[in-house]
Amino acid sequence: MKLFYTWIGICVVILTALLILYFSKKSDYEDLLSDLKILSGKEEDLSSQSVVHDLLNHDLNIAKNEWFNWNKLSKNQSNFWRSYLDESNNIYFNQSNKSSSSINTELTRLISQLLRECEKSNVNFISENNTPSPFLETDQKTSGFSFGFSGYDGFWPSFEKEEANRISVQSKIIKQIVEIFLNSFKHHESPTLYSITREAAGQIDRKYINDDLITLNTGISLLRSVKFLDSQVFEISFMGKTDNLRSFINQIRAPFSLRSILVNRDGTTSELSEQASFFASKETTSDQNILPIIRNIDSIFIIQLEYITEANVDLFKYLSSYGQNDLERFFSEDYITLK
Amino acid sequence: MAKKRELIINLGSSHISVSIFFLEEKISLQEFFFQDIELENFSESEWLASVEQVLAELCKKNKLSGAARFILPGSLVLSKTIRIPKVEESKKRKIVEYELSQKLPFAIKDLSWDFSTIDDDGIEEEVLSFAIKPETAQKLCQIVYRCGFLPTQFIPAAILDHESVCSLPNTANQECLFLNVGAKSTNVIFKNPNGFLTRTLSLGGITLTELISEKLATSLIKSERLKLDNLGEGANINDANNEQIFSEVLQTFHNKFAQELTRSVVTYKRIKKGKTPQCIYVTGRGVKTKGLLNLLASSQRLPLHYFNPYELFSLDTESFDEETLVDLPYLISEPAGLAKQIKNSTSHESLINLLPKSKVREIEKKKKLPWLALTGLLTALLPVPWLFQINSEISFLNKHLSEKKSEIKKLESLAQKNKECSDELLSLQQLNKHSSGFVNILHENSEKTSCVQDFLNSLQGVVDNPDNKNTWIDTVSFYAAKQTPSSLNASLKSNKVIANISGRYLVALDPNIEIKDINQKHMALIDSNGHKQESLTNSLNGIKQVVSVVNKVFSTEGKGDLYNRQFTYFEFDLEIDFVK
Repeated sequence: MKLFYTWIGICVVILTALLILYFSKKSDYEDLLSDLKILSGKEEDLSSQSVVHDLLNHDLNIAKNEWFNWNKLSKNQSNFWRSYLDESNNIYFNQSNKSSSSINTELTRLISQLLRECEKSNVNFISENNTPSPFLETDQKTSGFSFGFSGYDGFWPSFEKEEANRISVQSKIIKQIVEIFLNSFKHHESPTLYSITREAAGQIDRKYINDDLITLNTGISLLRSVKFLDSQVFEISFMGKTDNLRSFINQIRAPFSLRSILVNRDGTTSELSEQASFFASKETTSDQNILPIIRNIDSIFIIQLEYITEANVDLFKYLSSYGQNDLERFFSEDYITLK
Repeated sequence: MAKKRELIINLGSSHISVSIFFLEEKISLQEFFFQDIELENFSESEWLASVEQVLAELCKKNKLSGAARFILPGSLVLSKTIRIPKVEESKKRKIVEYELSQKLPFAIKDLSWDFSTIDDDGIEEEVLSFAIKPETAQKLCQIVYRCGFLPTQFIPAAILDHESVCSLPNTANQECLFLNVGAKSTNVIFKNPNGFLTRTLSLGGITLTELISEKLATSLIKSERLKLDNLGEGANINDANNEQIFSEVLQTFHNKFAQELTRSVVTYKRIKKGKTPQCIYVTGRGVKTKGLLNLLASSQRLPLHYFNPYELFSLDTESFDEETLVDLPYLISEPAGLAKQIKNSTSHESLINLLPKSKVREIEKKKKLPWLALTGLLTALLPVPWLFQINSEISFLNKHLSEKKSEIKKLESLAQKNKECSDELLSLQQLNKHSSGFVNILHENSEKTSCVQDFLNSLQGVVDNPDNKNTWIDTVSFYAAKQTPSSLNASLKSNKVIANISGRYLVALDPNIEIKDINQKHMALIDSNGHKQESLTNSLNGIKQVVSVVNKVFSTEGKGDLYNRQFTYFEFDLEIDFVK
């Protein structure tokens, strides 16, 4: 019986152990079921997310293509503006940092030089305030024309170096404008120059610029109206014929840009012919024989020119200002050529 | 019919035999082993010790165990024949108990007892009852347990010989005497057609051994050996010194045996009112005693037969060794009788069983123990299928889980890619937005670098147009479209300006038209002027940058003089978009 009870005891122990094991396994099973349920939910979530994968990829490809296009266009624009800026010949870029006094000397010398050249080309200088008149031609020739720097003819205020250098740049640009002007007329023609105006180079310059300060045309916007560009604007007013204007315009090259033009008839010579008819006779009238109505065809041209001095047209730098992350990656050759 | 195997162990006074019967339609003896018990003295305790030793040897040798029935020797059992009135079976036990309590020298409650009806004349029944001391039965139980047996029955040898006799042919209606001469006692059965009467004589082979031991003052073992050598079957008295003693001893034994047997026969005659046995059947190894059979034949003057056990059962003689086959007929009457009794019994209850009732219950319980143990084991292992099932489910879930994890890993990777994709897309969208603004502004500006020249060129084209020949421009100026502040802003933003252009053109008459009077000339000039106006307007409107003609004035009089000098003054306000 002892053996039997021992056996029963062993059986009870086995049963208990197996039951404990079973319930432990049952608990594991329930844990697994619970885990499976959680994972199934997660899988469902992730599956629903994965559905958009193709759409995302499609959109991404479109966005990439767009980016490649913008990148290409920005390079084109960048190239365009760099070539427009023409750094190698741009006065602004080739300006060495000079002292204020040396610039004064240089300016005085430049004005003298321009006056001499104008004299050679029989340029008449007529004050803009006065009505241009062929009768004043002799007097005006002798007047001291300062090419936009009348305030500094014999006077040179204390400029900051930077401002003085800016005046120096302006003077060199004006020299080019005068050269264009002179080249617009043939040898036998006698050009009339009314004025050359410019923008103030700084605070000091603004005090002394007087009548040489340009009044900007509000009609046509300047190129620098966008923040990526900077420029200096000049205005030249002269009298001439259409051919002279055409010649002048044709000579305008980058970094100059024609921003405005005002054409007016020369008031002194705009009288109409007293002839009753412009046609010689009725019988002989033909298109070829029509005579012009106005014999003096001079006009006054007021031209505003913009000289580009800066072009910050680097897309990378522009985008950096927006704090865009990972820009290097998008600009890398690997990424660009990924397409 | 299924074979029923019965293991019967005969615990004799001088030997132990093991018989395995198969109870089919016929009884067959499958196996038979026996071993003699050597005793220093014939005390009960020594006999029990010897039984344990011999039984253990037999078990070990023949690999025996399990449930077994045990035949007890007559010397261990107290038997009593009583007559009781014929009553219902349910009352019989109580009557027998009462009668035994009157006749037995021990309190009946202290004994383990049972009975069997051996004769029934319709009015009274003769009941043979047996009793054993419970402590003896207990000791026997412990011994057989230790030897690996589970006792199911303790039955006295005396009752079994009757079954053997009844099985013999020609004994059904015959009065016969059956003698089973054992070691310590002789079982005497008087069989008649109604029943039988049994008596146990306290005489057997050991009685002769004890007499030799007394006479020769030797040990019982030595005396037994001397008995077998000198007084055994077919033996002659070789020991010349003790020849006289052996003869005296043998004579004494013969006399005692003859007297006891004659007393029994006389008693039987008295009980059975003159009926006497017609023949004698003998068995037991005691009949091998020298001169015993002759004594029986001469004293009883009846035909004498050896009991033939093979009438009761069959056996395959080739399965038994020669020595066993020699002794088998002398030793098998009781086991064969029990086998026969088992076969004929309708229920377990009808067999005499001296195994104490508590012990029987205990045995019944013990019989159930394997089943209970098995049940316990099965119950203990009950969770095993659940464990297998849950393990299989866990492994399935684990597999499923790992698949899910792998799937989720993929999806997470995809989601990560999606996030990267989305981030990249957002970045690109921002880049594109800013880049488009940047590029568009620069592009518009680039268009504007030569816009004035382009416009002037177009204007020159208008003047040079053959339809507009003899036209010249006096003034050109640009100003901002003024109107309302809001439109001014819009104008500035949209690069639109107003170009004011004034000039004059000549109006020529068609040479093919004949002019007859001044009115006709005026009409012709008006017609020609109209054509020119239209042409000039169309030409100016056709300039690429011109958005619209805001204002136009044609003066044929005042600033113009159409009828006299044939020219017309014109003035246009053109809305211009330089980046158109």
